[in-house]
Amino acid sequence: MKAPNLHMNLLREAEKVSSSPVRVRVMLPILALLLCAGCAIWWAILFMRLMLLNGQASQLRTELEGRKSAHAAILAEMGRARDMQAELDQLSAYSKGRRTWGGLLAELADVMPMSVQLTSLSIPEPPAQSLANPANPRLPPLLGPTNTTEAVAFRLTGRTAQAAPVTALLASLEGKQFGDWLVIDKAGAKPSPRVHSFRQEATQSADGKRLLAFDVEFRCPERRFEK
Amino acid sequence: MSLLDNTAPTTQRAVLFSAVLAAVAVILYLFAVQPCQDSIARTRSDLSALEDQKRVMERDLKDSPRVKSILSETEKARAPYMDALLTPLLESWAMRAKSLLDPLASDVGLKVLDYSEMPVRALPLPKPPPIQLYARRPIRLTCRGSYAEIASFILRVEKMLPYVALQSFSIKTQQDPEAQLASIVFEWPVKGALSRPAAPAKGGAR
Repeated sequence: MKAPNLHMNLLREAEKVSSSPVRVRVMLPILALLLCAGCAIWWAILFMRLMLLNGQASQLRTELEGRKSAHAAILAEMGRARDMQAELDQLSAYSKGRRTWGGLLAELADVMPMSVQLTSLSIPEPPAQSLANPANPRLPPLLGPTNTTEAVAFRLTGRTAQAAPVTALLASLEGKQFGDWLVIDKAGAKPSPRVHSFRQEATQSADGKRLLAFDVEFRCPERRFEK
Repeated sequence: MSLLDNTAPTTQRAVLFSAVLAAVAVILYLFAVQPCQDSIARTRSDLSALEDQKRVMERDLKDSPRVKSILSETEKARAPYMDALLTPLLESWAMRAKSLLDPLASDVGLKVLDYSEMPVRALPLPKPPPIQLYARRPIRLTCRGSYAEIASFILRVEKMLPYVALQSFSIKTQQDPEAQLASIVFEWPVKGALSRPAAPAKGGAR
């Protein structure tokens, strides 16, 4: 004889609708709590680190503030030294561009043939500087020239009764003792010496000879305004 | 909430509680952690800039004796130029040149007839340009004397005034060889324009 089937429901009302009620009920809040606590701890660590960094920064600021005046003084001195060096550079450039001519005049007297009469002797003035601002002429003029060199020439004109003494004079001027002052470059594009003219004059000498007039120009080492 | 309708009330409570905690965590992250991280990044960058500044300061302060010695050397090197600068006498450059050159001319017996000022000439600019620029001031002398006197005078000027440069000259022969007419242009270094306004003196009027 078979016993009748007994159907007894032992599940609690809440357990009827959840396959794993313990996990969800307990684990989810624990995880959320851990997440929350983790965030709080993370923030606390970061905050402590920030405080530490702020402390370091403020200490550094105080230290720098204390040295500020000494540093400002040394910076001013550095600026002054730089400025003074630049002034010295400009003055040195002036000095480097200085040439002496007394020696040339003294030597010239020694080599001048008796039969040559100089009518003029000159170092022509350099061309006027153009300091107008090329970008706009209305702007203030430029403070300095862009080129650092200035061409110099030595020109002599005179009279003589014969060509030979002039040739002798030119040969003397091409000598080594004039090497510091005169450039000898006969084959160059701008030859030196350059004979501007060598012609017979209308006037006559005391002994009735026709005079020859000459005009010769020598190029000289240029003035270099460089430090 | 419809998803939780079929769940147990305790689970519903747990989910709700978890959601609140998660929201708190998100709020903590957004309003505490992230701003704190940003502040740390900012402070780190400030700190690094301050450390760089400190390094530069220390280097500059360490350089102080060297700068002082450079300054003193430069000042020493500049001093002769400062002494040689032409300054106007009674507002006249020519007058000052006359006061310097007349004794030298009379020593060699040269007669200076006239002194005249010529337009100032600029000097090439160094890089970087200084605040105070210098220029060349040409002064033209018209004088009369023999060739030997003129040559001696130029030699003497070049020897006695080492910062005076002969810019140009011209000797025109006259009938009397003892009275040649010469025009000589000497140039002096002078103070020129200011390249930029000078920095105000420390502690001065504002």
